[in-house]
Amino acid sequence: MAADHVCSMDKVRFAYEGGSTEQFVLDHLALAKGETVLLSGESGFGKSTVLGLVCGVLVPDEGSIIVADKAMSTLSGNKRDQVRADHIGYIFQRANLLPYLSPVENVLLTGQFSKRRRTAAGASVEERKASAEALLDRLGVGSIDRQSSTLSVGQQQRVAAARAFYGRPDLLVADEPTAALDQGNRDKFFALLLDEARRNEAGVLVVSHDTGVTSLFDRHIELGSISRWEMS
Amino acid sequence: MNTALVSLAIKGLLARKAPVLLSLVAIALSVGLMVTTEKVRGGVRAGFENTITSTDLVVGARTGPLSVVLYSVFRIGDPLQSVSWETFELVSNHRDVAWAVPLSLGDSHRGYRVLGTDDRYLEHYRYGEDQPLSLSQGAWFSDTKDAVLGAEVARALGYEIGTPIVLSHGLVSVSFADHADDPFTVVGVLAPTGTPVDRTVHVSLAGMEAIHSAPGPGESADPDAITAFLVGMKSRPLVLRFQRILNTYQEEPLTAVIPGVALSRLWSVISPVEAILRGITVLVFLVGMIGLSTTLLASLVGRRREIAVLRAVGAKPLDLLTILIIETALTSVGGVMLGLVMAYASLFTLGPWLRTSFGLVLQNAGPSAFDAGVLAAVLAVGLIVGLIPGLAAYRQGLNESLSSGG
Repeated sequence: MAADHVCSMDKVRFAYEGGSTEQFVLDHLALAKGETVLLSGESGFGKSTVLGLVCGVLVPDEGSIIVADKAMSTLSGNKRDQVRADHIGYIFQRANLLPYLSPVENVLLTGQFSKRRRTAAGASVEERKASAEALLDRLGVGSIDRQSSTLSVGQQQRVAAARAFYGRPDLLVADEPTAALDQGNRDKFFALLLDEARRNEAGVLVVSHDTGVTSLFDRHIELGSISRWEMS
Repeated sequence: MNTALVSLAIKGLLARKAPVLLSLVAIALSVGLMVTTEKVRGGVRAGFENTITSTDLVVGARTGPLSVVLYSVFRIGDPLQSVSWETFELVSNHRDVAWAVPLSLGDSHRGYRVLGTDDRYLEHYRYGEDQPLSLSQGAWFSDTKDAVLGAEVARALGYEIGTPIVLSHGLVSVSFADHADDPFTVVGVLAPTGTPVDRTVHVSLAGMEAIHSAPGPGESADPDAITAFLVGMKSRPLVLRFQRILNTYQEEPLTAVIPGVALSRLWSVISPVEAILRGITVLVFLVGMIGLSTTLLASLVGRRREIAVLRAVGAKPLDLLTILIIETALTSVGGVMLGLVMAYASLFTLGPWLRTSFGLVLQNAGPSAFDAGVLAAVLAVGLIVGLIPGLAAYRQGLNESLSSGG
């Protein structure tokens, strides 16, 4: 992997357990540090499989996956979990928050499992809280002192983005993050997300079937152009 | 332990008040029932075994040892034969005997047994932890027609000092064979003991004798025979030897029984009931734990997204397991504490009712090692039960987690 890459996948082959006869094959995918990439594709093309492989959830049968200079395919489950905690921010489609925590507590959650992110966010509890509040402020949520379950879907997604950026991860991964938002909120969300990514110099890999936001990203990759399903 | 995980577990519990409260109540009911049942069982047993203490031998006419204890201590059944006064005198004057108390049964008053005895009964009868009898009202009998009531008799019949009572032959509530021409007068009421003494009407031997065959002029008021007698030895090591002497006494066939041994044997007769009570206790406990497991598993289904979020931010499977075990442990400890409070509150509330309704005094009903055992057992089983959903969460692959979140 080139030194300026935050993530790279090469000649990856992967088959799901449970007697699957199909094998996912990905030739090459790499993100430079601070690069923003939109990965689009139809349902069933393997978007979630790519995310699973990048995040260390799935382990390839063959090939190489390197994230933040760590060879994910050779690490144990616990170490892959730690790479994810230290270097990757993850945003789900929806239901991203722990409903019983406040927005600030949800953002600070990442630091509970990663010393690296905690330290990067601040030396003291006060500094870390200030860092979380500043993130929420920049993403347009502000310091809302109430349970996350009472927020609107758009607000919840922005809190999730703030959590993903907390502690300056190297890579932000998002799976259809605007699927539950209308077009106006979608554009606003992506603008804030990508702005924050550039500010943190974080690579961004967004998976979506929505190509209406292509122009916002540095690069757009059609999943079908770099991968395929083969009968094993 | 990672305080962040403890904090997450506590916040998670507080966020799911309804299911957590259900689990808590299920454990509390289980523990409450278990402790109450055990306390009642233990209390009944302790009360039973402490019915008579400090008496070395109970002696009656030749019959089975249990029979002697049943009629002389528990006032259950009737002896077929009696013991001569001469033999009683002989025993009570024996050099190794510290004291002997005569017991004469046969009559009753409205279903309560009448015991003919003398001052030695008040002086030497002991129950519980070597407690003597004491009077709550009035005085011990001094006249032939005086009667002293057990606490339960006085309470149930509403008798007071000065109330005249008529004795009947045999043990019936309403008898046609009343000694109506010879009423006794209540002169004293004994303090509650939780023993058959509470359900006994005490009169003097002379009074008992007088209503059956009034002695003529110059005749002794001593009876010809009594039902049984209690013996206290000067030295404990002499008990076995003296028991053998009495059991092989040539002049009159006797049965001498060591009360503790007989009571243990008697208790073993009703031990199936004890086993059933213990079985119920265990079943209640198991049902409570199964309920807890079910609630935890059901709540886990609704928590897949929460688990997904935690996994996505880097929580390891062991972290999830730890959170769920902390939750279970806190719920279990809370449930046990609530259960113990419920158990003691019910024992405290029911105690007087059990005593007045069944003559059942719960002894050793305070906090005990059993409670600590219950706490440890519920915690241990709770943790094992908590492991089931914990392991399910542990095994939930992150890919499944990420899908759940999406």
